[in-house]
This record gives sequence, structure tokens and C-alpha cells, in this order.
Amino acid sequence: MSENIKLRIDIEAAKALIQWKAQFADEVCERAKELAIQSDQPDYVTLLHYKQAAEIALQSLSNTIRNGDTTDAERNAA
Amino acid sequence: MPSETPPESFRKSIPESADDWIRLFIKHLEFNLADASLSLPANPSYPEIQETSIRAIFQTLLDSGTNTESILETMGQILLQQKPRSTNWNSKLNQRRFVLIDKQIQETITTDEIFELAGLTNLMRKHVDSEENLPMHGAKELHRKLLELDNKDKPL
Repeated sequence: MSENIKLRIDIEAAKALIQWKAQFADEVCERAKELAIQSDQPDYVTLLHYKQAAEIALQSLSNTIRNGDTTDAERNAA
Repeated sequence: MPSETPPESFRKSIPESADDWIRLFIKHLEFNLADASLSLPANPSYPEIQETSIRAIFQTLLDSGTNTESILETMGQILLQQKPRSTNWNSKLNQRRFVLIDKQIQETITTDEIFELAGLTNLMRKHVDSEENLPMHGAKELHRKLLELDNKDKPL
């Protein structure tokens, strides 16, 4: 890419990315809390919970990006 | 369900409420940054981007319910704490606060001093509200006596 090209980013695109990041983070946290509650340390959310939750949240995010809505990954998978 | 053993890690954990609040704050900050960036020129300089960022941070703090006075006082306190002098409340700091209040009344106070005054006011308020300034001695004595009475009433 030429260094002389000054890229501009559509505000709609910039805001969509902010929304996706936030949705992903929120979903990871919520699902990780659910996983923690089911574990033997219900008051402690670990990296492992986050990793497990992130895999599910990724599917959900992928659906959101494709469909433009917040479709639940588990509901889609069923 | 596999789980990690947490005891030692507990010391390096953050409260859920803070985590939720920070995520929401960052999201709003990013939206405010995007909106504020719309007014930047085609080839913005770094100082222009920095100013835009500071404006967005300030707006996000206001949106989060933090009031202007509280932002100013906290910033002032942070600036004071960066200086190589004690920030425990003492007569010297109190004296400095009065000097700055005089300057404020005379409208000769500088921007730096406005922050310094806000920081000193914050320190003073925390000192006044701290436990050592509350009439705790009498309350503790009363509590001790009540405990003694309670123990005397208990059957052997």
C-alpha cells in the first residue's frame, strides 16, 4: 500500500467495530460467570472460563456480523 | 467442569462490578472518540488527536455520572501526588490552600493552580472525613461497655 494514500474510515464501520468488540466482551463475561457458577469455585471467574466462553461468543459474534443482529449461537446450533 | 485453584490468584483479581463498569466505560469512550474524531481535519496532528481524546475522556466521565468538580479534584490530587512532597494533610498544605483561595478570589490564579487547589480541597475533604477525625473514641468506649454488660448477663 502506498504511504501517500490517506485512508478514511467510515464512521458507520468504526462504530460497528466498537459494538462488536463490546458485544463479544459482554458475552464472554456473562457466559464465563455462568461457567464459574457451575464450578467448584462459584465466586471466581478464571482464564479457563473466559477461554471456554470466548469460543461460544465467537460464534455468536460471527452470526451478528453476518446477519446484523445478536443471534444466540447456541440457539442457532440447536 | 475443569477448574483452576484460585487462593493465591485471589489477591490479583478484580471485583465484578469494576470489570462491568470498565467495559461499559470503554465502550462509551470509544463511541465518544469516534464522534469527536469526525471534527478532526483531514491530516490531524498528534496534539489535535490528543486534545480530541482528552475531550472524549472528559465527556465519557460526565456521561458516567462523574461530576465536573469530582473530575477536577481527582486530577488535581493525581498531579499533587506526582510531586515529590507529602500528600498527608498538614498545616503547610492547609496554608497553601488558603494562598490559592486568595488568588482565586483575586482572579490571579493560573490553570495549574486551579488543579492544585482542587487537589488540595480533595485531600482536605478526605482528611476531614477520615476515621481519625470522627468522634470514635466515645463510641468505641460505649461499645466496649455494652459488650461487658452483655457478657455479665449471659448464664454461666
